[in-house]
Amino acid sequence: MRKSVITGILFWLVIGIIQGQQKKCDIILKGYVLDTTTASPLDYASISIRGTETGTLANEKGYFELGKVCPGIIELEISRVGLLSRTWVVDIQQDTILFLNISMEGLRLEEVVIGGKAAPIPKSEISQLVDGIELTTNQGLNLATALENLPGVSVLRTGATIAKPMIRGMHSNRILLLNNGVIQEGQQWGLEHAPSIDPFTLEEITVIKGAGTLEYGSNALGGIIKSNPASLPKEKGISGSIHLQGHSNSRMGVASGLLEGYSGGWSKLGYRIQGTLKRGGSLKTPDYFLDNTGQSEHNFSWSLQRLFQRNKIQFYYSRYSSTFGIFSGAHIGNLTDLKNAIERGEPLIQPDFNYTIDRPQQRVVHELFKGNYIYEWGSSNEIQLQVSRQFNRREEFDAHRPFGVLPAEKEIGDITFEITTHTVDLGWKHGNWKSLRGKMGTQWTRQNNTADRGGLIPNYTMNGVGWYWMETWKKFPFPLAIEGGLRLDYKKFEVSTQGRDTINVQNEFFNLSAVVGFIYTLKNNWTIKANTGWLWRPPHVNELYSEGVHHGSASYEIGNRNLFPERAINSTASIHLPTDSKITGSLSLYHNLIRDFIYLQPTQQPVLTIRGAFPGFEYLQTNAVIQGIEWEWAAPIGPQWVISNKTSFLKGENRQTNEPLIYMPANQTHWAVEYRPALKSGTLDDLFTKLSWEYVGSQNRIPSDADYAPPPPSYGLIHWNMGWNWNAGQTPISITFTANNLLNKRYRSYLNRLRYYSDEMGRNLILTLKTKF
Amino acid sequence: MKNIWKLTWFLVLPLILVYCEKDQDQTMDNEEELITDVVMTFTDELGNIQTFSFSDPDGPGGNAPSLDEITLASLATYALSIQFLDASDPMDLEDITLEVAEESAEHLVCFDFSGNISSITISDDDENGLPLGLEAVLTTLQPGNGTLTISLKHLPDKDNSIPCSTGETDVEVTFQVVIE
Repeated sequence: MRKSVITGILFWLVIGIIQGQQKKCDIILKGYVLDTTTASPLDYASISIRGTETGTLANEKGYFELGKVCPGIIELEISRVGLLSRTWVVDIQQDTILFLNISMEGLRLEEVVIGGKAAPIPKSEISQLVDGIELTTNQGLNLATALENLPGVSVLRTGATIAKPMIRGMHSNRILLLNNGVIQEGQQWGLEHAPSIDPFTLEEITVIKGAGTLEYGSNALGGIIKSNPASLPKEKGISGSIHLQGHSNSRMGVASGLLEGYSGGWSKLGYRIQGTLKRGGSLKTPDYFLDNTGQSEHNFSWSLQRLFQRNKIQFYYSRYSSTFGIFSGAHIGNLTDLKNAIERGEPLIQPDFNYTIDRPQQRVVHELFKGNYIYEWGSSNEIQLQVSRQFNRREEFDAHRPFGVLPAEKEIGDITFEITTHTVDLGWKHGNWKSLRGKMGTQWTRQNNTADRGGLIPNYTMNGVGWYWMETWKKFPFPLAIEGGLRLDYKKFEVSTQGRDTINVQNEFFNLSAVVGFIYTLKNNWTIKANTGWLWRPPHVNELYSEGVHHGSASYEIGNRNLFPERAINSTASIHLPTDSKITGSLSLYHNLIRDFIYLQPTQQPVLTIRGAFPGFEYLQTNAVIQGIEWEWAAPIGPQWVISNKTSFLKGENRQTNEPLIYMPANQTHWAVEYRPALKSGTLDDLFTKLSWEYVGSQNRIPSDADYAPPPPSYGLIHWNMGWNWNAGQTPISITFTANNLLNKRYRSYLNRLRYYSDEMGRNLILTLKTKF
Repeated sequence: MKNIWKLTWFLVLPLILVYCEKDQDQTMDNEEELITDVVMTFTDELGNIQTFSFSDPDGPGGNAPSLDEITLASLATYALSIQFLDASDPMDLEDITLEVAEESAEHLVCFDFSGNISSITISDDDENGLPLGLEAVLTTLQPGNGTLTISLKHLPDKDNSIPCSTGETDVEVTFQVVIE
């Protein structure tokens, strides 16, 4: 990750030594500038008092001293190369020592930031950030693709357009996805159900791998993905940006724009309105077009914020609406069709390019509305109340129009899932108290799910209550920080009907989870982090009640009402090079033991239906272990070149059958060389060009009898990226050009559910233009 | 006081801007029709009628389907007609065959057989003059056993060299056949 990725800056402050009362302008301010993530000193930051001549530069140990400061409220301004400058209002009455903790790794994702006042605590979790150019070039694709380059993150696909993120082999209900501080609640249980979030609403996405925080829920056995929009402007004026993107493959056009501002004056309103339009046609593999793979999306969001002296009210609304064509060659009625498709090797229907989205298709609408209130006092104490409502409608249309319906009803999905979720979150964060900083809170969730015209999963109402408490102990300059957390959860499913059957069963789950971790900074500023989490996840309704043929996968899934919650012991250890050293990087090891891991086991007897016999899969539990190693590093070669590598190895095993787990990502490595020539400013500003090679091994660790075709062979792809900033008169335009699969290589991915039917997408050239006004 | 008014519009505005989608719980919940029964009517040269069926009125899963054994005379020729029914609601039997016939170009009934069946020839056409398969002629061999698989394909490629390897399968039922 490049240094320009450095985004957030926040600090908390500790008032140290106190010497008698002074009234003259002879106060001495001393202190250290520290990196929050590693808790190591940051050198050469400049510190000044706004509106005065007083200012200084911190030394190589991060230490600074300011003399002749007048008592009263001062505005302290801190800036450093590669960081945005921020100001901090502080009341000074006597000589004071300040510890200014600055985040180098986008810790702005503590969504409760007021003027840089939230309290980021060094964390033992391993988090990685995607923003800037990396996010920009992938924004037109989808959320999961933007994360694909992070080590340990893979993407589970259904065709090229439907993509779900996977962290260390876990996906769906085993990871948490936070959209602007709210847990995304949709039909995430299905492998072909992609997260309904518009990547253009986001400024940054952070992935927390392994057990890190218990703040949002205990079921994140794999990790957490936090996606956050930029904070609203706090300086008077109106500004905006326009983002245009064109793709050669699928001839997709994407346009996204936003307008934002701050009214100032008495109203002190920050606001933003944003929208995205997207339209794409048939995708193309190196050899042929894929029938019915068009997509269209129109998304809209707004937010509003009122700042007060000590508190803040915020509203956010977003609406995501998409239609995806499902590749017709993959829509099969039964096992015979699947076998025919595999034998053919390539799709039967290979039409010319078109933008038509026909049956089979998916239509998804997702709405989020949230209100947020934050009150803060003293040194980083804060209370937050958040209320949200989400609505998700998912309609699936089979290739075949339903029999026996009136023409007016033919536009209604063959299956419609509608899920409405309300949440209330209350949190309290406390600043330094005997070197402890922490947070506690409670969450309440109520969810109602209905499945119309289809009985794959039942209708249910879910009520959940959670309570968490987390503390971190850190005493500067002692190199060790220790953190711990506890969480209690209660969840109740009231299942009413499924298809034509009345069930009327309640399932209740109650459990405790815990996390401990430490961060140790070595003399040379290397950081060692380790944590272990005892986590649990209650079975979801699809695992308990699923009953029916899963379309497209030619399997009959049978739920199991007697499932227990899964219990995981998830341990991670990692070592990180300092973020400001020449060579940056980290290495992590993890071991995730999951007792009562819920998985699909093939049944002895196939299930006979009028569509033929389907292989049956029953939800069973086993003990599973997923372990792996990941690293990433970047090293400069000379002043203008950087070489980087990201690699991950993963192994998942069913401990009872001694067989590998299905759908585990293959080992992979990404190499990249980046060149940033030093050009005269005003020509091609910030020009960069990057060539990367992605190699994905063949997944030969697979369970027997659970798949229809052997895993595809390994493949290597070459991607190329370049971009620069151009000033057209007064208007800055940022131009990025990307070529994915530059050599138009023919390949198939093990984690694509449509790999039986067709190759992956061929070369895709993407041109992105972004302008601000 | 003035400030309170200003705050009010700030609090109310978001509510105006929200266009909330609601759960449109359709009353016709789960009433999608499906094919539950396949009925085969064999008419011999003398006009004698025999019917055999596959029946799974509760749909996939639940109770296992019932399946007749087909008994035919040896060295005989039968006119065969196929019917697809939705018998999920006993009070309201639906004949899906009519819809298949209506969208005849989009459908094809395929026959696959083994054992002592000599041949099956589709005897009806779709709107484009290509085979449809709701009507066929079957001839039997010597006494013995065999199997007969009937499948209904949706959107097959009828110009393909093996049309029955194309399209999406809506029905696929295999009967045991005894030739007496």
